[in-house]
Amino acid sequence: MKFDIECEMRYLTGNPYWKLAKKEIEGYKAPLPKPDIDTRTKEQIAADFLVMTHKLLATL
Amino acid sequence: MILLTVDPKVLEALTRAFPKTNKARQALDKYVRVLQALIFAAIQRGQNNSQRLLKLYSISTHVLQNQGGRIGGDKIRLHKWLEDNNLSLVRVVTRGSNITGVVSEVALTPLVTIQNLLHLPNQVYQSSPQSITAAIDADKQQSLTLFNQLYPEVSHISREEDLLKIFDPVDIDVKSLTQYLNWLTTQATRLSTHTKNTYKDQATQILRIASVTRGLYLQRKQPSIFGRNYYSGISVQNVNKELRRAMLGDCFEYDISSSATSWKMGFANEIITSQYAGQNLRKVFSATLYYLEDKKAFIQDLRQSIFEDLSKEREDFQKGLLKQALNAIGFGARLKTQGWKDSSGTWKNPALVEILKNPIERDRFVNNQFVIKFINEQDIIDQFLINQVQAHHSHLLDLPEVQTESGRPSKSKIIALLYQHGETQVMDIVRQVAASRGKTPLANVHDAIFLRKNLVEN
Repeated sequence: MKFDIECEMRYLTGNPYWKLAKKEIEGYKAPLPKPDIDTRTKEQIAADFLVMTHKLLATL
Repeated sequence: MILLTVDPKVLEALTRAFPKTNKARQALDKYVRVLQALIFAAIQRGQNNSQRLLKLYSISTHVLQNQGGRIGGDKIRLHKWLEDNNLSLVRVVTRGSNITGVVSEVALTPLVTIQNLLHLPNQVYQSSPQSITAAIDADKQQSLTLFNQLYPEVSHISREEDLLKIFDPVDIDVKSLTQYLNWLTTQATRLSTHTKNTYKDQATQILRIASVTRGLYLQRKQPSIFGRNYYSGISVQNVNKELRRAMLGDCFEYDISSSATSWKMGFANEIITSQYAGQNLRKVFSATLYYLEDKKAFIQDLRQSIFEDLSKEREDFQKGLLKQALNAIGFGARLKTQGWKDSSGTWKNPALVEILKNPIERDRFVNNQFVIKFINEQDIIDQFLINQVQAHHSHLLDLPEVQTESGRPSKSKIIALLYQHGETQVMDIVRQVAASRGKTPLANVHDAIFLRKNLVEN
């Protein structure tokens, strides 16, 4: 249909240079939920890391 | 939507001077209503930075004096009475002039306080899109007041066709708009507080009107003698791109590619026949055709020969500048790279200086072979159009809208007038053909239409 309109634009005005450009517009969507924030303290993270490393070593 | 609250001592003094039952109150109410409407209109038109900072409003004091009513047996103007009794509600900061057509800038005196009733509380905007909708729905009365302030004549119109003569309705995607407002107030980090507030006001106004009309916003038509249909007040044409996206929601935009240049090239055949018989059109208009047929490559070539910093981050910005500069040339921008002082002593810069601010880059631009050829071709077309006007439509030269300050017809204004009529004519064709296939535009912006659904090929 875009082609038909362009043909009419050119034919009815006698100007062969008219051209239509299409742009898709997206409305605003609800924001994505925020990722869970890590609320652990530095010390907790270090301790958890240590536990995990021990577990990993135990599996070897 | 604003509310002015006047210090009670004004009414007390007025009642003492004019003790007849209720006359003082009625007169003051009328005056405040007129002032309120003038200030509201000034805010709608938009304030510049200094006006916002200093809380100044562009209003016609002449209208305020004349429409603000009279009081007493001598029918004294209330505006004058307030002035004479040191009870003025406004103070003129810059006086307007009926010669220049510039209206006065006024500030409110300490006797008045102004409240913006349009806003919702900040926590509502920030809470969720749903809470914005709920707050607007719960506050219908304010929205109705706003509707009546913006469209006082609508209550007297009964037929849809009469309404459509004055307004272009636009279907608002309320969900998308509330999500935009929520984003604006919680996540937009690169906008100044002032800009955010302006966008928030505009979006809230649209939402409030849509809540009264079940999803429509009315844009007041303001046709221009140049052929375009403008709107007064907030419209899809004058809001920022993001807000436009938010109010329209998911849709498709169809705009004319390189509209002004395409329109001009429409005269190329006639020019070849009348002035360049036997010559090849593709040769005579090679630069313009290169621009129309491969704009991307044209701009890319130009970018490489003009800018030194070709980093990816600068690409979009530089391309935007070049498109603006070429468009300005299309409308007769001067190739002068230096500014001048106008008759009032104000320094003016040619359009090109405003667009390409770096003098070295500007110099490269005006000396670029493609740009020189492009300008020459535009000059050929412009001269042809001016000759046609002089020969067949000389009445256009007398229109006050196309005169320069010194009273001569301006070539670039005539070209703009012809172009805007051409643009309207071709966009009418676009709308008619689309309508014949059952597609009615959601909204129109000069050289573009917005459709809810894609133009699917048969």
